[in-house]
Amino acid sequence: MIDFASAAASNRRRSGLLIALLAFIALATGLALDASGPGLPLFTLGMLGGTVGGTLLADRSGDTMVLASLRARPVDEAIPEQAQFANLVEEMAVSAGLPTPRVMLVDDPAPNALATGRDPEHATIAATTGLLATLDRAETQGVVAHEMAHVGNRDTRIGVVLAVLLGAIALVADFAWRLGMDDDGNDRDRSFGPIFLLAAALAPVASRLVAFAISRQREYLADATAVELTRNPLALASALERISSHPRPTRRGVQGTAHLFFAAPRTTWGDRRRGWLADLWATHPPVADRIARLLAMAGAGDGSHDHA
Amino acid sequence: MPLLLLLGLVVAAVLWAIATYNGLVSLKNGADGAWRQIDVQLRRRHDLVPNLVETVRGAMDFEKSTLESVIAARARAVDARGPAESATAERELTSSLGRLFAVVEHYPDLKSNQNILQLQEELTNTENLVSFARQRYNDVAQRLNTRREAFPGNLIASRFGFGAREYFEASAVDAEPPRVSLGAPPAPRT
Repeated sequence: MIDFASAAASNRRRSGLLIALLAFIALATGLALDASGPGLPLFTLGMLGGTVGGTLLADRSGDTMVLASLRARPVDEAIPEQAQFANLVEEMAVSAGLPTPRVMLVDDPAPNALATGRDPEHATIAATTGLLATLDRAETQGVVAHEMAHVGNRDTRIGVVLAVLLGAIALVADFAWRLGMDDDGNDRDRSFGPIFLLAAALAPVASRLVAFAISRQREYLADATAVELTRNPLALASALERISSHPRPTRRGVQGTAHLFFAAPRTTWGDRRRGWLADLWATHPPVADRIARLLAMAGAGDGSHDHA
Repeated sequence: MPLLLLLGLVVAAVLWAIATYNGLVSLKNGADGAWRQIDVQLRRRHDLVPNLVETVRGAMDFEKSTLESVIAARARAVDARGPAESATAERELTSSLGRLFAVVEHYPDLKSNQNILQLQEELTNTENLVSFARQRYNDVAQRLNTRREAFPGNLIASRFGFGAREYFEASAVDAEPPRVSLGAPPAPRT
């Protein structure tokens, strides 16, 4: 039984905490940089402006920015597989009881999909051309259901805010790093000191760890919700299997948007490797774990997922 | 002091009653909306059938009876009044469409015809939309029924006349074919 309302409510609380934590990291970095920096509260103000402005901007037009960066285009209903994709999005919208999102396409031979938008009324679901070429109807339905789950659970909103916040923190830290180091990588000026460099180095790392941890957890929930929408865990499992064994990783997924995708684009180190250290750095849970959970649902699901 | 305590309890009870009532209202509206969505999808299916029949008519001269049974089933579905009659008629339409596509499978020309493939996708889509709309309705109805029967929500529900919702019975759902998916193993029954 789908209860988007309670999932969305707990997500709002978590998102609030997360944004607070990221803002704290940003501010602490700014303060640390200024404490040993050139004297003016430049970095604190920069971080403050960057995070507040970035969050507002992301909330207003983050989805447009994300879609533009991926060069997403509208689907062509005259092409059968694209028409089918649009149909699947509509089916899942009906199943979820949500408005039908905008449907778009990303030119990339690697199979993947993403959802974005600040709320279900302004959502977009996009698939790569590779996804439509690789998966059959039932599998694509599973992937679309997973994306629809992100829309219903309001993961898409936090997703774009995350993308912009990570970008802002990385930008300021990078700027500080350049200011503190000369071209040969030596401490340019004794006045900046080690705390300055430590803060500049740690801020992007810490902010990513927080963001990725949240992202991983949302993926399991979206898989579970997707099964509630389609009642077909096996198709989603087989979609994951096929996508993860596809030889070409997603190219378009740049660093800041990796967590938005259905399957992790292998652009971040953690999504390419295994082991606890890599898992900590991954935007998505290991595919094998996701498949195992889906198969468990298929085994137990037939009775409990009955109508009535 | 006991007066203050009593007042606090009353305020808490009133707040709880308001929250429960509002929760029930939003579930009731959700169930109504889900019910209307089923109608929308059924009407859509009715509109699609004439198209489909036109497309295959020329190539299937000698399968007239199959086509006619589809046309007749559609007419009955459009005219059906009331949920019970409508459920029966829709079930017949579904199975007659299933027979039509089983016949189409035997005509290689038709099977590879672009229009037919498109229509087949449209039909799969409509069938799924109907079935997902019903699934959604049953989910919301179940949530509403649980909320109105469980204690203490039932105190509010019975006072303000929140009625129980009927589910799509298992028999009507079981009679539907498994969701069609082109070139894929059939989805598990729902």
